[in-house]
Amino acid sequence: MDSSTSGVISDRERALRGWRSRLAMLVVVLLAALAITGLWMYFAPFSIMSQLQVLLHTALGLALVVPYAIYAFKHLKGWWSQRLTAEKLLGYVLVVIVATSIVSGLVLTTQAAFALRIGDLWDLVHLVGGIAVAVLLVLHLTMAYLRRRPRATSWPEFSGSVRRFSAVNAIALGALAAVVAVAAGLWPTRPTTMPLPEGYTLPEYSQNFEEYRGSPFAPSYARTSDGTLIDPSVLSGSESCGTSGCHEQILDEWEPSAHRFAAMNPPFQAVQRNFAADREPAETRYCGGCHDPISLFAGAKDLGSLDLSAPGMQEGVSCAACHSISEVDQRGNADYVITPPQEYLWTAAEGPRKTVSDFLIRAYPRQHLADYDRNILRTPEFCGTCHKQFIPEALNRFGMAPGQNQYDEWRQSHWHSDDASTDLSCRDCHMRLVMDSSDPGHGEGGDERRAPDDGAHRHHGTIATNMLMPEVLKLPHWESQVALTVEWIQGQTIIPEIADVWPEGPVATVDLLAPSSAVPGNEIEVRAIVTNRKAGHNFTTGPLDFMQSWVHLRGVDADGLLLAEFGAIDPDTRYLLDSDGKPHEIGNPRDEGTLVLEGIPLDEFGSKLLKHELWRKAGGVGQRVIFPRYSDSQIFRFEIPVDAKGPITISADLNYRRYRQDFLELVVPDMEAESGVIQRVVTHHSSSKTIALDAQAATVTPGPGAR
Amino acid sequence: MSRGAGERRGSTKRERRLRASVAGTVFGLVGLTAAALWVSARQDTDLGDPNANVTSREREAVADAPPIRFSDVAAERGVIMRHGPGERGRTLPEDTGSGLAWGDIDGDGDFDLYVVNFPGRLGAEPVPEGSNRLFRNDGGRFADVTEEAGVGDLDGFGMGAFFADYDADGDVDLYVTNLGPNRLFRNDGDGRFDQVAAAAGVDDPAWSTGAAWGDVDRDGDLDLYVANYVDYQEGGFGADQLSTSSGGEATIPFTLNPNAFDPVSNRLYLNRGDGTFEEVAAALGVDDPQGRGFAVTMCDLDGDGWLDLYVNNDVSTNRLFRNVAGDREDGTLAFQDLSTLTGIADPRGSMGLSVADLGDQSGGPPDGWPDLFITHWVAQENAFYFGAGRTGAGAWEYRDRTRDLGLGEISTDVVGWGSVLADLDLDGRLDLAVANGSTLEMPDDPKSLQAEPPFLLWNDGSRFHDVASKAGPGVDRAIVGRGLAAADFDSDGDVDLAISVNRGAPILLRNETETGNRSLVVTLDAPASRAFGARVELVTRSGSQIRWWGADVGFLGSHAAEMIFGLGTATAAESLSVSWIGGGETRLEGVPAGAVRVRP
Repeated sequence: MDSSTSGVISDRERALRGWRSRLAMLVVVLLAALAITGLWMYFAPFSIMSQLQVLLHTALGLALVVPYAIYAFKHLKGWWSQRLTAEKLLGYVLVVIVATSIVSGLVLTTQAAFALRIGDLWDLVHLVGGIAVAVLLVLHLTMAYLRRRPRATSWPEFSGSVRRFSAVNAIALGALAAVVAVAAGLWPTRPTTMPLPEGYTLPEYSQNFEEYRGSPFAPSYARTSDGTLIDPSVLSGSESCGTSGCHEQILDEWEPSAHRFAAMNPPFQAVQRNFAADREPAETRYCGGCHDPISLFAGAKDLGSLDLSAPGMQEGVSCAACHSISEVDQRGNADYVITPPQEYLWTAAEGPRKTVSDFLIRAYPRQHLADYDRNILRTPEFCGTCHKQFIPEALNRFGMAPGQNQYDEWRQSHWHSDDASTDLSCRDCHMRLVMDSSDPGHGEGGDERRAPDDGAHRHHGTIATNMLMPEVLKLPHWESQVALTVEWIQGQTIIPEIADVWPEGPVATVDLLAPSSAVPGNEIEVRAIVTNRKAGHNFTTGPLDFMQSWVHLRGVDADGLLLAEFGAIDPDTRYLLDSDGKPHEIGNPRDEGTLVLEGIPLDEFGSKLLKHELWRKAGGVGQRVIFPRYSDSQIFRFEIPVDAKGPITISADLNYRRYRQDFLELVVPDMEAESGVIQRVVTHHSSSKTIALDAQAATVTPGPGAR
Repeated sequence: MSRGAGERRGSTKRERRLRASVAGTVFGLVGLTAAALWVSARQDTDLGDPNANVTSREREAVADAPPIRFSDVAAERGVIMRHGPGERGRTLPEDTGSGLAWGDIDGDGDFDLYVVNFPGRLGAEPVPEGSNRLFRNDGGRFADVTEEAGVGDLDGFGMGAFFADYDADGDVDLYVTNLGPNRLFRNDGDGRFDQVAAAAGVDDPAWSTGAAWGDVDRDGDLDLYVANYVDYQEGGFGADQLSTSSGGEATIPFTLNPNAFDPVSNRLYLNRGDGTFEEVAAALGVDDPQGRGFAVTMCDLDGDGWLDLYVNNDVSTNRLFRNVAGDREDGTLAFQDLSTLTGIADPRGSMGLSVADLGDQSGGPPDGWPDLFITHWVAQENAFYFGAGRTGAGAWEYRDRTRDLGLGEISTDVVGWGSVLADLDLDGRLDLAVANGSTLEMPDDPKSLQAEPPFLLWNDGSRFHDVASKAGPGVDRAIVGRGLAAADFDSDGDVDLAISVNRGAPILLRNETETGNRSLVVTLDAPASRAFGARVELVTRSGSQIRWWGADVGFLGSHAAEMIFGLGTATAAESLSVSWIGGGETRLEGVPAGAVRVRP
């Protein structure tokens, strides 16, 4: 009896209808397209094509939900009463896995659209489910076909239906592929690199040296992976990292940081102008590798650019500039290779297109992580590439002269250890962990003090000792940066994750040794001892020619009469005074003044370079710094008046300010007045000692220690 | 076939398929998940090697370095002593020294070894084991003759030792620098020395370190320049308490920081010719009161025939004092400080000093200008200043070629001290040996200093490569090295080395490099006043080699009074010429490999 006439659909008819069903064709086409686009995303390299696949995958996935629900219901209903076979079992599994994939896909889509990052577990479920769907779908269809193939020769309708089913699938998939391929081919791309412009000059003198010859970035060692320039918009735009709702906290931290104002700060700009005027603009590339990479790699440090700057210069060491460093060498002087990030679609756009771009980054973060989460960033050598400097002969035209070198100072100090549990490197101190982070990059594996789920990110304010410039420039969140910096200098910073290794208390101390009693009318000797207690490099370190740390020592009698003072600040000129109103001069014999940690470069004629003219540095003089854990000392002598009233109080402050006052006057004379910010003096540590006055001088004894 | 049997068979097949489907699905999903996790882990940027893209090109070793070999034969040859009695007291003087020196005290043609020591804590009763030791070389084996020679100097806190025949009586005398009065041991020619420093006027009580001999005023006798270090005051400061007063954790007392002490002026002693000296450093402007002096050399750095002075200073600026007597009509002695103008005012912590002509400033062959190699403290690369009248018009300038030569980065990890420019494999190119040893304390044992392996830096013609790790167990080990002095103590024609070890036994490194190369050992058979500073040039078919007698001073000691030139595979040198201090040149042609004595 014909089943159609009996009202009961036969197995044969059910199969035929299945292969002829338009809904089935639609669902299978969608599933196949999803599988192909998904596998493409996962296995093919990042490209415009792969990003279009992501968007297509998302759209197809959303389009699948309703048709699949209807189809799955009908298909299950139609076959439910049939005997359980392997084919049917696989069908059930397929239904479950497709459903799982749809649910996980919807979750991932929602996360990518509205959250900070996609979940790792959902991503895994979707990946495994997607591949399983592809495999099971092929198996299910193949088994369904094979089951009836022996009868197909005598059943032309079946063979025709299968052929039609296959053809429709192939045509639909082919059409989709063609559309995507054409779209990818025609998609407008923004070049990230640029050839050297016509007339681009190379610093003449550095061409004498093989290691710099022909380099468009010499006399810096910094270079791009292919020797071309980088569009400044690629390395700038740091704001977009925060305004997209992802790295807002980190952006807030970075905005007032020294890395951020590395190029824009007035002293740097003034020194760079002097440099270009004294030499040729191209030579300022030496500074650009670390201070102004955006302009350096944009080719802006050349004759054609009056301010030697490219758009985006204000970002200094921007997010992209720092995170795009892909190789470093230990020798410093910006010996790094920068590999510009591969851009996602519409990265630089605004509005809905930017939303799509952010969606792509979150949904398909692989390239974003590869470009910005390079684990070379964890290494101290990464920091050392800029925090280790020398003046090459290609620059001073005289011969190599040493420069600041925090990297090797740290490397040789006791803070560096082969034991990871006790080793402290640059970022452990200067990039403390920020707990309860909302940053999508929170957590980190492969780090002794971190875990993938620790919920923290590293503070990108890289707190150190520049408390002046954020305020002068009124950078966003400068108040917070200045407060953290002052805390840091005063030794009030506590970093819980390294508290077992890095003690609390002052970074550097001053202690006093003095006799317990003295005789009026006689000279007294007081010894001040300064100790580098916690700095992981020399104390002080950096540009010693304009930073100042010094001992301010005062002797006062019981009536408050000032008996002697060393290291005061002149209230009018704000110059540092050695003693008795005598301005301090770098390199003076120490018995003529106070203990000042500093150093001054000399040019080839032995003249002091007071304006940071490092391109002329040939030597140095008066350098006084303290290696980690070491101490320095100086004896202060003064006479106690016969009418002084005892006891005498000796007090000592270990002070710090960012700039020599005369440096500011020489280089940026209007900066303080125009900004309304007078640089402050911050005290690292203080000590005092009381000396009785009597007729018999006592022996020298240790001081009481910290206040 | 019965129906029942068929159903059983059918049922079994279906069940097998069902089971296979279930198993395949489960295994497939598990496998897929595992694969996905594996791929994810490989893509996890957190888990990769952070150093994968960190390079250190300047530290790369060379693969085809020659087999330079040394073995430590100190104990078997009889050089047995230990430097530094008792436990380390965490003071600067204890950590600074001491040095050693080679000198042929008995005129038997082989070099004897004097090793400086200190007798315990400053101000404490001297410990007998802390005396300096003199080891007489008897055919390559050594006998301790300290007592009979009378050079133990148990009362002196020893730093350096410098041999020279200052009284021109034909035997070498010995000047010993101390923290406290220096000693001048006059050799009486029969194995004994008389201490005559006070009578001679060279018993400077300051903390002296380096010294150099030379006829600086060209009056025919040997003068002496002495580098002084710092005005060290240990007592009364409560240093131990202070080291913990501010923080609770261990810090280094300031008494270990040379920067905490004022520098002390150097001395220039002019030999009156009657066994006494006149001190003229301040009067001639070469006292360098702001320098914390270490090594010092007297060498005719500008080629005008007069000995100039170069002083290494620790944590203060090095000084080059040009002897301008030659510019004066009457030839009166005077100096000009050209440190900065010549570009050699090195401001770092300078320790040891070696001098020879390594080539011109561009990497070309020797140009006749002395080049200066200087060792430095940690985090400060060593320096190699190549001298030349580079810019024409007679300008005299130095260029630091340390980085070009591969000597920069490798030295930032160590504290370099004694050094020598010597042809270790006799290939005709000067190699470098450097004694390293930190002044930093062991993190877990503040009573001990960190040990570091020495450098044996093989010269490939354009760069140096450290081959110490392949040179044998005597070299490939960490020590707290200080002095390094070279001599062919076993008279086999190659360069052997002695290294002093702070609070350790000295090392005697016998050169066991197997090479087909030959050497020429040159000795100057001339009064010391004419030999010290003499320019010696050897020409072979490979080119010329130029050195200055006694100018390579190392650190706190002196190398043997001989020059060992590598000839490569040549059987003879084409020529050997010596330009004597005071004038005159001796030139020998076709000098065969072996040894030669050159007379004025």
